[in-house]
Amino acid sequence: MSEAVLPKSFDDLERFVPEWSLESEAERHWKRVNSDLPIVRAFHDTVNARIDAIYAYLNTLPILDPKRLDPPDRRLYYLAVTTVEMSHPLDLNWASTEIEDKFPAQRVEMIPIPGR
Amino acid sequence: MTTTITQTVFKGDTENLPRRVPIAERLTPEFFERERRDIFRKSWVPVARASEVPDPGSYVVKDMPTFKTSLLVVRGLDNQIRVFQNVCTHRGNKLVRGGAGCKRSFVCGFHGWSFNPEGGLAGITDEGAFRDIDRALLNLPVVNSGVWTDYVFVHMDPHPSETLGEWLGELNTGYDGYFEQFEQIAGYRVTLKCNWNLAINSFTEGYHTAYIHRNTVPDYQGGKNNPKRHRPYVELMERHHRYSAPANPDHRIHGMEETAFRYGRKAIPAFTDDMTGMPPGINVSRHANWAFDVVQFFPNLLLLFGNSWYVHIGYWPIDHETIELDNRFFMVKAKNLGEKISQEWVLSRGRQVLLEDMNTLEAQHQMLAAGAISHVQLSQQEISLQHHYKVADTMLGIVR
Repeated sequence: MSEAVLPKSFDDLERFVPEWSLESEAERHWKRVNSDLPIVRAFHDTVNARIDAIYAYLNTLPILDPKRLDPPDRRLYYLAVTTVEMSHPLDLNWASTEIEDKFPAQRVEMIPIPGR
Repeated sequence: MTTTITQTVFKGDTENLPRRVPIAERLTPEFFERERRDIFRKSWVPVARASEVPDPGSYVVKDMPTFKTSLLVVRGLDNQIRVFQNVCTHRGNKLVRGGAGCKRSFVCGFHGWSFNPEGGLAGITDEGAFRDIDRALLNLPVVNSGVWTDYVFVHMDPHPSETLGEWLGELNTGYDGYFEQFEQIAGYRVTLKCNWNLAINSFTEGYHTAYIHRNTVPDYQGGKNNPKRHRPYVELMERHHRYSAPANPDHRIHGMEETAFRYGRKAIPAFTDDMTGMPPGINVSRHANWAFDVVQFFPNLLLLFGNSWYVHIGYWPIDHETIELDNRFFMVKAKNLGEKISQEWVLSRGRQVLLEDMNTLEAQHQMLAAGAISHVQLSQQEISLQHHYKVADTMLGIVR
């Protein structure tokens, strides 16, 4: 039997894992900026419909460092964090997934922080 | 029903400040060399965090472009934090090339000289081949340093005219216990073509917030009783300044923000003015609709203090038109993974706000350096900038 991709009861979100369970801040930022708004909306709305269940499940786990979670829990955690990243253009009614009047993020070094 | 408009309470000397500041002259290489000599080398500046060197023997290397040198911050086996020039006293090789760690001995890669974590010369290889050696001259060169809360400051002048405590003045007390509650959740580094004064100025007033941040946090400050977003409290000290930002009590929490704050602590763009456990330096005036404080530790450290978060921005000039920004975001330590997800919501919104803040810096520098206008014109809501230039001029010996 192959290993579960996500914790049981979150099977319905498995299809998003390869593309959207992103472990670094930079990956999540660029995924948003480089994705079309309808794609972001479809992903966000589907996971957001389960967001309370995700919070409730992850809050039962005793580990605080996501990098040390069991793989299915870890994938679910980063799926939620990517969803959070995708929420801004939708909640702020932007015309696309990035605004124009801002400093070019490619010039900003995002430093990885332990335990994130 | 009457609406009481928030009035700014100013504390400190608000007279004799420059409201029309000559700026083009400040953007030249010659002027910056004066600033490097008379401001940066005559100020206590932050170099590291005490928590970066937690154990005896812990060290961290800090390259300091502003001073064109590299410093070694070490916690000695006696538990005292010291800062040294990162140099072997034999022939000047850079002793530790970078990074951080924990060591009992620092060994130079050139000829194997070694130093202990207290900076003392520990060993000279083939010592018998050296004649007339005075070991007292060969310890690591000490840089004056001091610790405030979790911050390690240095003073590059061998004989500072003031202690760190005297330099910090009113900021020296009032922050006990504040920093211990946080964990770092993000760090950003960026090099910009912008003079350091312009860079720090753009973060020390709230006037811009209604315009620059319209796309990301449109209603986070102000509100019906403060439509112009006037600061409720501004304090000008001998060199430093701080102000409190006004929350908007009618800020609309919706979408993922509502979820994030149901499972985690409120932070930008929603605020709580619950001051439980906050030391007296935070929201000094105990303003009711308080959002956060902005504090400039003159010359080049900016800290933003909220009650569940704080932000660090170090502004390190490399030359008259280049600056390195060191930005770090901290939040109250998460107690569960849900709180971490909520932190990530705050961070991903905050990152967009920061990208907006940085977006004017190079454009403004370009036009001012071109001499397109000679002066900048400052309002009373930009009084912190007026104060910045008065303090700078005083240190530079400029009388206007």
